[in-house]
Amino acid sequence: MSTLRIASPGQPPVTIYVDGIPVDAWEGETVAAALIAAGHSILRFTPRLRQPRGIFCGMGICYDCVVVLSGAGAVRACMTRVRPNIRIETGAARPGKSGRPE
Amino acid sequence: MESTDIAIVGAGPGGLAAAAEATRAGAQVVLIDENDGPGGQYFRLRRSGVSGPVGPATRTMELKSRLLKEIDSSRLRGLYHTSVWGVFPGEMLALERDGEIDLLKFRRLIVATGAYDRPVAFPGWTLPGVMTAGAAQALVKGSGVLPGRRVLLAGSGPFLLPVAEELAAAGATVVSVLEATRPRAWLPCLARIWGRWEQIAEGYHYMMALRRAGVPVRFARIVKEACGGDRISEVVTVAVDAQWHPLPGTEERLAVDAVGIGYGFLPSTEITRQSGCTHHFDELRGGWLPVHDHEMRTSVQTILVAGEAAGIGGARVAMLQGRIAGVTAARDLDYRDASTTDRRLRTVRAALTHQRAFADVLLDVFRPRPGLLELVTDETLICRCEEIPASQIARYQTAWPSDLRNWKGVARPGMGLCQGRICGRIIAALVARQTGQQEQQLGMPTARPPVKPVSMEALARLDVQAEQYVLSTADQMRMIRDSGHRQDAGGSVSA
Repeated sequence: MSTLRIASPGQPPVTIYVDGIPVDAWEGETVAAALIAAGHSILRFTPRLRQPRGIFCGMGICYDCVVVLSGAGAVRACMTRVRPNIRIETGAARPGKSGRPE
Repeated sequence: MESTDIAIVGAGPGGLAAAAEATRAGAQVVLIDENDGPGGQYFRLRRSGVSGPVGPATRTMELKSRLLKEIDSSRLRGLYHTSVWGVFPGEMLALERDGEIDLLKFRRLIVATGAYDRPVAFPGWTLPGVMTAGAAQALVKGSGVLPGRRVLLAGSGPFLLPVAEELAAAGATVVSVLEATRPRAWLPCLARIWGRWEQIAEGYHYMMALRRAGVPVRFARIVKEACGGDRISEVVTVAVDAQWHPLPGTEERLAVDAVGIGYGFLPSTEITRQSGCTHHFDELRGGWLPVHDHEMRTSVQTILVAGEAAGIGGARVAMLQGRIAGVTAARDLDYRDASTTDRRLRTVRAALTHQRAFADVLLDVFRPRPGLLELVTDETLICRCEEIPASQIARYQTAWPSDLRNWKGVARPGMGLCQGRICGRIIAALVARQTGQQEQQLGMPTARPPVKPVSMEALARLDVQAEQYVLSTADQMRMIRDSGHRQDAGGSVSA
């Protein structure tokens, strides 16, 4: 269990896929929390200045934590709950000069 | 298209109290909230398996369950995980849930949309690991995940204390709580809070809990800058004078992996602003606020407000206002006879006056001081969505001094996915400073649907009848066109 996760969930973890890589997470936590616990504090790079962004407001106001949830499109990681086998695409691959991930 | 007697937007303390009164009076209520259940931010459900501190937090949860029991659930429909993205003529709310759009017709609307942490811009505030105090609390309490191992909390106001307690109890090292005011500034207010033992005891509880946890609370110091490569690794703090002007040479550096910033709250007023309700500017209670009468009616007959969206005042004020709004709305629809409601409202109103006065003292003591704006450098991003630095805002303002609205259209600050919720007040403060005006002289920012992003695909799927309705006036056509622009902004994120 990650050192940032303090809950003793009393249930087995589920698998979610973050940029294709399986990660342990627990139902009941938000996608944002699961990503932070798994060490993904960077959720995307901004389109213009290519700066990293993570969780900011944590309550659905700022839209800085937008990630792509397979089948649903762009969602706020802080307002989306973990479900088994969901696939999350972050924008955390560092963009190259062309703006495409390297 | 569904219809209801009373639609309540926001299931926090204000919305739940309104729902309790309205359902018990006999009205059918639809309660809408973006979260997955009732409670809002104040009554945030602790994740099972996450043990938390006892004390005020426990009492808060008791309060929530009492409130939920008061609701006549046979008359309540809760629409959770659902965003309200617009209010349309004909008493209609536009909803979005998991990419699906729906419309809801109401006879009365109670706006109890709450508040969010007041954003404060400083160099590095966009770095991952820098978040609001509310975000830090939501992570640890709602999900059982620490925002970091070494966390600094900074800002002003009583909210920092329970967040610090929560983090420390969860095992984080809270390296410091920085409170921008100094105790000396509180002295003139002591007489005004004399006798408020419950609240004073609450404050004392938190101070003692932090002392036991070894968390230092430092006064008259703020976060000046967050540093790091791809995430925060260090924070620069600085001492401030009584007006929060940073004092050169007092900088200190601290190694941290997360920072929670909390300078009080701003009200979520998009719904009343786009509904044509009259607003006035009240700096103390959070800026542009819907004008309301003592029965919580706005200037629009069918719309009422309750809680933080009517002006920052805390959960106690919100619950009392929610009760008044719930009773008023039900009475308007003839669900209660006027004599019963008047008696009941008298006691609630007396309690409200008492709580409102206390809330105003706290707002005054911890109000943000002008020196805070000095943290902004030319390079500091102000609009986080559209990535616009302070220098560009100053440049546009110089080029088009009398036309804030138009240059905003060109430069796009406040036009991104957050719709100005984060940067709006900061831009207004910067422009006001540059032009030597008061913030309210710049006018109230408009809020157009969609106030939360919706996809064009979902709009296109609206059923034909509803579509004709929505498209029936030129005004509404413009709204749809606006939503197209917003979708562009969304596309750049999700592409």
